[in-house]
Amino acid sequence: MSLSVTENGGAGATGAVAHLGGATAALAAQRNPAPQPVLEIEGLTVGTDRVDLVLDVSLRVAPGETLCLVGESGCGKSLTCLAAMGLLAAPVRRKAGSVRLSGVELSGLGERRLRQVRGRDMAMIFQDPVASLNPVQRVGQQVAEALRVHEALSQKAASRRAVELFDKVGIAEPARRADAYPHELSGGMCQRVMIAMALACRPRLIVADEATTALDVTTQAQILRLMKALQEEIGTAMVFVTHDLGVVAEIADSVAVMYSGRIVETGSVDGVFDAPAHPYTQGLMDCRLHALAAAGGRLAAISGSVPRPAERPSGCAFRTRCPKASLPCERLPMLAPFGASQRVACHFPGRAT
Amino acid sequence: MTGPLLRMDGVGRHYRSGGWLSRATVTKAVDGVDLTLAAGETLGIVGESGSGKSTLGRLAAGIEMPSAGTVAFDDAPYAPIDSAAWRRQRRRVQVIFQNPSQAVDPRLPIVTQICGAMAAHRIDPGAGRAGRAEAMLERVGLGGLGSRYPHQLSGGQLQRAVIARALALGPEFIVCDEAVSALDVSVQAQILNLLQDLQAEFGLAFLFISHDLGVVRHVSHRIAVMQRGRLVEDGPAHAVFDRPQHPYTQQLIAALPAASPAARRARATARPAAA
Repeated sequence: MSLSVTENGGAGATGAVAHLGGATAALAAQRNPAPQPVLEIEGLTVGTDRVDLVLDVSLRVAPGETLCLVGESGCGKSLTCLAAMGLLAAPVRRKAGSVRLSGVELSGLGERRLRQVRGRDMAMIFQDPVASLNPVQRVGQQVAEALRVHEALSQKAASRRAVELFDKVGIAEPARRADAYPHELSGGMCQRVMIAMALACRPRLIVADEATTALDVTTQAQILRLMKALQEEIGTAMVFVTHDLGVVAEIADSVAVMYSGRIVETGSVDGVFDAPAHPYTQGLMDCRLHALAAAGGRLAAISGSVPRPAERPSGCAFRTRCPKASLPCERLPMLAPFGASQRVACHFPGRAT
Repeated sequence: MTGPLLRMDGVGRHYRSGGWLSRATVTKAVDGVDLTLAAGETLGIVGESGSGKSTLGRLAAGIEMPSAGTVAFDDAPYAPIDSAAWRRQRRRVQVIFQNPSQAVDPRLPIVTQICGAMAAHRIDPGAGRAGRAEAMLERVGLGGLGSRYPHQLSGGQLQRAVIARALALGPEFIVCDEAVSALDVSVQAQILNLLQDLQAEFGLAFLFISHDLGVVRHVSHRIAVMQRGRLVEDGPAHAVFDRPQHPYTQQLIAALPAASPAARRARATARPAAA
């Protein structure tokens, strides 16, 4: 079985637990802050001096939980991740809100202090592994470097440990591959190297930004299984950014849907898939295509595209594309409870009956 | 017309590398492929990266010549690249690539680029050209945006502009090489709907190359599965996906992400500890 069980029996969608059971557990985890979340983002606003790109985002991820962040490009998913990692680059900056890692406030920490936390307590995996690796250094050494810096291992011990990690992430002939340069490896292999690097110091949090998007389905399936298994083993919390709802179905315990900088819906993965409440979530669900579902007919598409942040409509940002939009939508809807496990920011939540 | 629009017989494309100081090696990107495509039909090509899908697409479009076998379009083999006959054939066969921003000139308004393509093929000389370009933009949902430059359009809009440019030449056959892969799902759905409408309207034949099996199933009448340069399975879309015969096709389908969390659990119960 490759299903995750959270340390506190918390928000995990666990094994044969019925939908209701899973949803209640997720709700309990949301209401009851007793298990300290690994990542806690509150009221995060990110932007430049002129325009806000991420608005008032709050997220919580429990130990061993996988939260999937979904939405179209330009909705602020990646910026939210970068802000969590303290990796925003001028002119984009955090304008308000806080980011806590296991209760420790990260916003406001100096770069020196942040560098001690990044790589050791939290790690990030990016979409393009080839671009994230140093092209002129052997991959084994790149992984060993993290261990030398954060765990003060000797060069020899770090190299040995890197080879062990390569073995663990399913790289065949790990000792030989550790001596390879990135260009000598396939995309899937490079992504395994990135995962080995992220896991090197057994971080409490892994942020994966479209980590499997560039991979073939067979490689993607292997990498997802691998991440899930490793998560079970070391109890890491994961934030997984993806636009592929199939990947969400595959690995998520909970889901947060972003649109134009805001979270418009959150909930357990079962809740969001069974009863998407926000018209945007419904739209995303409706235009999914699956090879095993009967084909044919026209696809339900969401008309238009995500507005540029500077041209974001007042009130509900989705109203320019929403089939349900009417007068109340000129007021900004707040996130409010919906169903057993969800929260939704919409004046007309749920499917029309 | 009696025969198929496109016919490939024993087509191979081999690349030679090394051979000066090292021993020469031959890579068979495409190897012994037979396939046909009828007018108005969509043939989907699936396979992993490196399986030869794109090379097959280039051969089918006649922008690459086979090392072995023949590629015939409308019963005649493609003329040598850059010959006058080849240039005339270009009008009838178009290609839409994955990244629209690399398929347009960043310094020209899109309507100018559409007119440029028509000028190259001497279509509608004079004032008619701008009118036809505008009509095509209207048809793909970009009415009134012709004076925009590529950077002023979103990825989905730009891909529509590329489709309008291809359409303006009145092609019969379009190779779509990962044409919707870079787009968000919502925009992807818009473009797929558009391509299907255009097929019905103009009787276009598509060779639809994608690594996304869901997309391919949705648009294709028939599907061919490629592995290491060879076709390992082909047939009607539903047959290939519902009753895959070849182990590689079965493997591809088994690797697909679940459609829902419930489907994931059902699969986990059915196949505990899948390797």
